[in-house]
Amino acid sequence: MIRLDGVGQVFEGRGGQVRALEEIDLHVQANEFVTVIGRSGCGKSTLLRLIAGLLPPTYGGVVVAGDPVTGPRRDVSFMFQRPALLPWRSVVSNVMLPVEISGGDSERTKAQYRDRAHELLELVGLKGFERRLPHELSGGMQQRVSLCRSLIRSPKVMLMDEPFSALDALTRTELSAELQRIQMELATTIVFVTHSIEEAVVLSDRVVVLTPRPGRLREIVDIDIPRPRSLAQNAHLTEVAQISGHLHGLLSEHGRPVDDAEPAPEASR
Amino acid sequence: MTQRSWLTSSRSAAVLLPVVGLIGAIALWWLAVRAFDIEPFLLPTPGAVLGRFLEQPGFLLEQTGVSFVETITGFGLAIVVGVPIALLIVRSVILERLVYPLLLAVNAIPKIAIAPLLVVWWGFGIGPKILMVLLVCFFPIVISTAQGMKSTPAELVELLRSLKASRRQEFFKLRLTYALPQVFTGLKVAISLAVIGSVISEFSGATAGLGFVISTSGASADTALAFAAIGLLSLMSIVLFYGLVLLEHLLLPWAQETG
Repeated sequence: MIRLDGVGQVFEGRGGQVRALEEIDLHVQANEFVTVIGRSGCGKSTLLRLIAGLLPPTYGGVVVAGDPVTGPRRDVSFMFQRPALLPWRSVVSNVMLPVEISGGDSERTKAQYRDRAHELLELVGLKGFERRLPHELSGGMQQRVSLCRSLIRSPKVMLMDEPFSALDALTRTELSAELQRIQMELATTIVFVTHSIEEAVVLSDRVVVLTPRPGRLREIVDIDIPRPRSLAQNAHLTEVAQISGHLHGLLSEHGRPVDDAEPAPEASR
Repeated sequence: MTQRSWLTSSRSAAVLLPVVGLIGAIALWWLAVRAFDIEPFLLPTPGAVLGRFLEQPGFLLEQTGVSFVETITGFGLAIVVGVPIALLIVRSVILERLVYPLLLAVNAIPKIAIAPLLVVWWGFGIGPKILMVLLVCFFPIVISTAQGMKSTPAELVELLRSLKASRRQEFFKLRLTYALPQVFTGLKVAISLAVIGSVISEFSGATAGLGFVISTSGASADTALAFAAIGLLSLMSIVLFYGLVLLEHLLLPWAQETG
């Protein structure tokens, strides 16, 4: 579904060139859940923006669903670290924004999309909040709206840039359980960026570990734990501990501990 | 304890307290005139001012109407001219560098200094008055609109880009709406200035309006009449200001929370 061949990204900074990514080769299968993990500044977000077509790669090629990526595509959705809702739009019309932007739909299709929006909101537990404005919702609820918005056009690929990192631990657990359920139900391909080992282990089929400055592939770790998995309780604690330990080792070079709690987004733009 | 919480939290107290304050101030004014035996042509009593208004209510309301029309027309034109200029400035750096110093220079001129010139150029009609109002309140509208247009959060711009929105969609569905609360901030500053502008313009070469009433009453030492006109002016200013506040509440219910 997604293929990166020898992709590299160089930014022209004030102090000269910054090599953000180097020699990235990656294949993501259809319906696969791949997590990209790395320390701050390893180019995780840049990688996601390259796949999204928000940023052209300096060299190498990105292919999504058989076509070279030249710009944003309608069947690829992007979810941000912050909810990014339009404050004057109600919950349901925020969810409908992508449909409205692409336009050209008949009234019947639009009505179908509207039904779909209500279904999605119900799926994430926001039934009864459709007419509310974003500021009336909690951070977790806002991020759920954002999730519905990225699902509205049933995308082939969902790109998620640390979408749960600004939430409290409990909401995070709930949302990652919901995301697994949704992915199993809708069969979408997901590339998920995070700096949390826990999140990576619970959510993904494969974890891509990047090394920082410049971002290079360190290792790709398969996770063969049966689903559904949970951040809260887990029947496969030994496997989880093993994989977590391994990832921890990969991330901490020269015995440096991982900055797991670091909330700052990377300076990749 | 209960008394205090009633005064700070109840809605009726929120209306009542300003009224009490106003009545208190008027009472003090009356007391001062009485106690120090001030001459009426220096400072008339509140009663005398009210009496002077009631002598010619029709005339004074008509003059208020004249000033009101000048203020509103000039203010409306300032929006019509100012908002597009702000939008252009935000779109093009070249234009900003070209026009911005000029705007600053025009804004730096004390407007009262050009009031007589406007009369020379444009005669005694309503034209120079409206132009004066426009000149006075145009700048805050341009500045706040431009600032509002620049305040769109980067993540929302990126969201629209990821949705393949056209520039047109990005402008109308995002940037313009996002700027509206700041536009309103500018409008609220501008409306008070607009009233001042209309009075300044009526000081020279006018035959009607509250500013004209004030300047002629000064000549005949009719202080009570001047006070009546000033009272009507501030009343007009307050009504216009709260009209805008109300409009903002109706149009932008989301803005109160998100700032």
